[in-house]
Amino acid sequence: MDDLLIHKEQINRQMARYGVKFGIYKNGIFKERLFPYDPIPRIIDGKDYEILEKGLIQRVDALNMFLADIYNEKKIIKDGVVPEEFVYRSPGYLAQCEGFTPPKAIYSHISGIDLVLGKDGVWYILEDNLRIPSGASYPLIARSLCRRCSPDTFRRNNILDNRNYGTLLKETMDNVNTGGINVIFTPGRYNAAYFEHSFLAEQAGVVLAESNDLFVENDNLYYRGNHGTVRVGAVYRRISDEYLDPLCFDPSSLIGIPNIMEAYRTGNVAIVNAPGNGVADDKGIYYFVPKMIKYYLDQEPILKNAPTFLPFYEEDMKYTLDNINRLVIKDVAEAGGYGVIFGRDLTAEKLEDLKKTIINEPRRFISQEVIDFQDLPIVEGDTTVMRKADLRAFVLSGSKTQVWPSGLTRFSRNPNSFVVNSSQGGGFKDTWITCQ
Amino acid sequence: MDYVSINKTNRLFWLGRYYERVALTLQYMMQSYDMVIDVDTFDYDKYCRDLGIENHYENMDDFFNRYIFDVEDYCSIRSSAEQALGNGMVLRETIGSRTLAYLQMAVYSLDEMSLPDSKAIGLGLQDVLDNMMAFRGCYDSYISDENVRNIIKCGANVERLSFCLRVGYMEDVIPVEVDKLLKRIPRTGLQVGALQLQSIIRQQRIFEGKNPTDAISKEDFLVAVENLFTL
Repeated sequence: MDDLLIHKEQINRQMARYGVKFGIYKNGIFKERLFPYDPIPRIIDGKDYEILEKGLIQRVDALNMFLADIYNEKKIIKDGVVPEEFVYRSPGYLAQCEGFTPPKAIYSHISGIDLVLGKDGVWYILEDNLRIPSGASYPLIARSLCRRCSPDTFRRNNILDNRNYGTLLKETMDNVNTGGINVIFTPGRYNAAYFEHSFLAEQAGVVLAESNDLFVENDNLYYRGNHGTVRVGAVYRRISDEYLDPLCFDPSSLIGIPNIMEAYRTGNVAIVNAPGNGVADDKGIYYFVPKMIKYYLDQEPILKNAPTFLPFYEEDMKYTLDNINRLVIKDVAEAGGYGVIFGRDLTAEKLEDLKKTIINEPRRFISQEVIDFQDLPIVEGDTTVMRKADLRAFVLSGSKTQVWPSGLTRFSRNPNSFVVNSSQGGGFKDTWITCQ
Repeated sequence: MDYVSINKTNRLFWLGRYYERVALTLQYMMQSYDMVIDVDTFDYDKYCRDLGIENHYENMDDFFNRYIFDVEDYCSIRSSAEQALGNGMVLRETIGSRTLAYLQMAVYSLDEMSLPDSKAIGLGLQDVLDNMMAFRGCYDSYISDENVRNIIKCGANVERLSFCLRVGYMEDVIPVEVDKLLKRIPRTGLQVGALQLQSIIRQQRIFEGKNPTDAISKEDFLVAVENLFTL
């Protein structure tokens, strides 16, 4: 592995060569940044991975069952397992998706599950991302470049090959395709994850399309080709629900496809991931996922949630207010590392303000114990330093649910920070799964 | 067959125009830069007029610096490289990452040379040109769809004809470029204007000496070339 460390700069230059970037908007101006890569991988051994894999499949299967239930029979609400307030008041819940089941009853085809490894050696789930989780392209391209840099490292270590993500993505789309071509639908070049959209289209051999390239006619979705129109059978949309269809959601959206929801509801096109998934990856619903696993699968959850409290419940409100200075408070409406407040970082005055806000808007927040998660080594100059890092695992639900044997390990570059999000200046590592 | 949308067709054509613009203007600038060593002047005002771009440069040095490197100058080579890259980025799955990488590297090379402490600009520009040439070879080798390749090439043909006619540079290649362009049109699936096509065919006949009395002015020929494709 020394080869990789010695050649860190060259590998990063190769990343730059392939335009491995993510975009951010700062003061209304779009800027693209290279995503800093650290060559020391996160290594997960085969035995650990086996447990992780089972736990992730279990969790995603339960979440898919939850979504099918919520938009149809709502048994989990009727049985009092999940309070209806947490479903219908979730910003991710879409009434427009009521009473409809997508092809093969799969809602979350590509799930990004964020985990951390605690100092106690236990994996904790931090967050489920069931809408448009991004990040798979980064370890995917990093692996190809690192194999080129140090073939010996990969020859000597039994590392599962992760370069099949494009194939898995294509199979996932083919599984629900209703007849026609597969398309990745991007909002365009000025989207933060545009590199990923175009790279995955290339890897999966599917067409990359923008809104002007697609239109709906007679409840079918078509691609406007220069040799005529072509029917689309599955669309992997990389655009938020609210902008997807201006005739169904936000009417001011210029980047959506008018009437795509009609084509979808008629069963003429599969949308990957399904609209309305936000209700299941809401930070408030997160609390209930272990209960869902028991309810739908009659199994004990294999992976643990971080200890979480809902101020919505009286008992949890009391606990949150009494322990606020050592808890992390999360605003359920925020994402991307925003809306995360560590009580220990606030002054007494600010803590009081936060308490008042929580009392006034209990549904808006969750509180969690701070997980003291393991640091990973990062190359910095000529030395190695330890930094906080998480793992985004990708679970693909096609003809079967499977975990991509890799993942995006993101790390904080700030020694005092627990926030590893790329939009907050973090970097990434490859994730190696070693064979048993 | 690759599924190419109408929007992508437009981008492919402009990708061809912009990469050729970078390659041609770079060669021209390298030649001019060298010429200045002996004659100490370059009529950048005429150059701007010929190309129809605004002369907002203070002097010759300012022209060379900003026209080559300034990303904020919409007429500059750097801006054209950005446009080529921008069009290429949205065509990644059509042209491929390894092809696109050469445009990315050309942009990096231009940016590296624009730094205050950079030296040997003439040698650095050669790196940019090498990347543009590698891009040309790479797309020709690796894009399997003949239509896609020919749309890019037609964009490059139009750009080359336009530049050579405007600036009077490499005028001897114009007949060859016209031949190539006319042969490629049917292999693109692009629509062309009938009158413009007629003018270009007329010019081709003049080049071949078949109808030397049927003259067409340089200006009319340029207009026909610029407006040939109805994208």
